[in-house]
Amino acid sequence: MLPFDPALLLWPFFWLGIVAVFFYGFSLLYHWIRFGVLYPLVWFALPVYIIGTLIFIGAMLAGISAV
Amino acid sequence: MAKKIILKDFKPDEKVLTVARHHWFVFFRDLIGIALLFLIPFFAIPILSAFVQPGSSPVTVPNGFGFFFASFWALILWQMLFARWTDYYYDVWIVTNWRIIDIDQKGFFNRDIATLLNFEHVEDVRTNINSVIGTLLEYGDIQVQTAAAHREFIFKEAGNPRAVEKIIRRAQEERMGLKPHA
Repeated sequence: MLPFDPALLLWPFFWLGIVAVFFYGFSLLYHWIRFGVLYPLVWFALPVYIIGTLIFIGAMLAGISAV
Repeated sequence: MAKKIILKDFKPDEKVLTVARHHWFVFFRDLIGIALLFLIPFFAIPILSAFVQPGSSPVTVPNGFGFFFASFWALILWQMLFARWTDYYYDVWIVTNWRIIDIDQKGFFNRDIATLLNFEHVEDVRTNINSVIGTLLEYGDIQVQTAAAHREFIFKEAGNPRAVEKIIRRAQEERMGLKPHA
């Protein structure tokens, strides 16, 4: 019998995070792109949000790979 | 920035007099809350690690768990931060020489837009600054009482409410042909 891999415990949380990102990301991008004409700062917030999100997703994967 | 706003249904001689937003402190207050939540793992992980010493407990926490959950927590807070910012930034009052447009963003997919079409319907404009920080930083509520179907327009924690009030009063006076205040 193979030894238990503790990383298996982390994958559900990882996918939970991805689902949250999908929900928030869709909602934010929808509002930013649709109403961006009225709110110019969203065009600065958009790349910051995307880069930050990718960094944290990468950090979660790095955490899993370190197990 | 106020002059750049162009709405699809602008009248030919309509011009934006001011765009009122919530004071920056309103968002800063939320930012502090989120920053405090962000710090939780930095306290919780060392405390939990102290309870689960290697060899003293049947449960061992593998390397990477702390980093993973700190990242997971930061990811969720990152989403909440931008959601809160959008909520803050999308609430706006556009005052033109014709009307007041009240755009109230309530979370996602709930956008309430009310327009006071006629300044003649304005019965009273009030400002209410009722806290120490509000007094120091000059923010408070603006309330426009109207005779229209939408009885009250309230913009909470607006920056510089007295200036906005003056602009609304002056616009009303000009629209009604009264002599503006000096």
